[in-house]
Amino acid sequence: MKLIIGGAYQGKLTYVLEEYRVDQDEIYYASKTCSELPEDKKIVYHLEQWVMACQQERRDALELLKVYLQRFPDAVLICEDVSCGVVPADPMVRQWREAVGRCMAVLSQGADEVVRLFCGIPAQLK
Amino acid sequence: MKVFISGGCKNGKSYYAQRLAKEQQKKDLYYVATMRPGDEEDIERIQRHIREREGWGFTTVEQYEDVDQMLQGCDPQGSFLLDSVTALLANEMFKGEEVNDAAGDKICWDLLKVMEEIEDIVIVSDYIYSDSIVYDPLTEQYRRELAQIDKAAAAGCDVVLEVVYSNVIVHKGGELFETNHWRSLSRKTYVCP
Repeated sequence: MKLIIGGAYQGKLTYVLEEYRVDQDEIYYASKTCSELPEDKKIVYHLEQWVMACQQERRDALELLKVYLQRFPDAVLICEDVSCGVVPADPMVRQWREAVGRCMAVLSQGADEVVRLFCGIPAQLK
Repeated sequence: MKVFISGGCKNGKSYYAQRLAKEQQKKDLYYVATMRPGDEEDIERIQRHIREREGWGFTTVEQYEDVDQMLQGCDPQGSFLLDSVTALLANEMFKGEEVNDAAGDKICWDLLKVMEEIEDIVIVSDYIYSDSIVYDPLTEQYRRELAQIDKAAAAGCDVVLEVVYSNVIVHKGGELFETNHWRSLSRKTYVCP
């Protein structure tokens, strides 16, 4: 599994499209209202939004990811880094931020590759 | 050389950018001031920045918008410091009654035009893309357009640096950066006095 991280608008999606030569329709756009992971796509964009959906629907994100990665061991997960900034006043947002952090730590450990984008420039962290 | 620097706020990137601009000075040294003073707080901040630059030999060029005009009256052989893209975008976006949706594109073009005409420039921006606050659409638009300018500027620069609490991470042009005459500056950690 490959993990692509970085701040908002830093070129994560462009990197995946160009680096792995994939088309837009191969990408699953996660949203904060759906905690299901796709059954037919191995590239997930906005994983941080999906984590929010899990939180709202009280589902175990790590458990769902484990099942998903068994089906797609070569998945590409794209996640916005939401960890740098002032601690948000809203407790829900605080919990979301921490949940994303926990997920990313576990995913990083299991990833074959971790790439971070900064102003469009990729840096291989793993 | 063209250097792009970004990072979180209040971590010393302006000071570091000043040193880089000074270091690569061959002839004149220019500070492109972009912040349009709005209130007392702005005026105070500007005064503080002016004090910090005192004695460095910078000629100040005030360019709040239309950054492609910044070279008027300047020697293109000079060393330029543009601080910051963040202020430029705010000025361009909110200069009229309505929000200017073309501001990001315009600044990209203006900057690339300037960068074609000069050799040495340090461009400063602010990294505002990694927090967990859910923003209103206008702020989100501002973030998206600033990132667009950052990516274009970073692509056009020889060296791209991130400053994280006084630690410098080199994202592009590492070899150039290390072997250049800025050896004294290329230490990964430095302290702003």
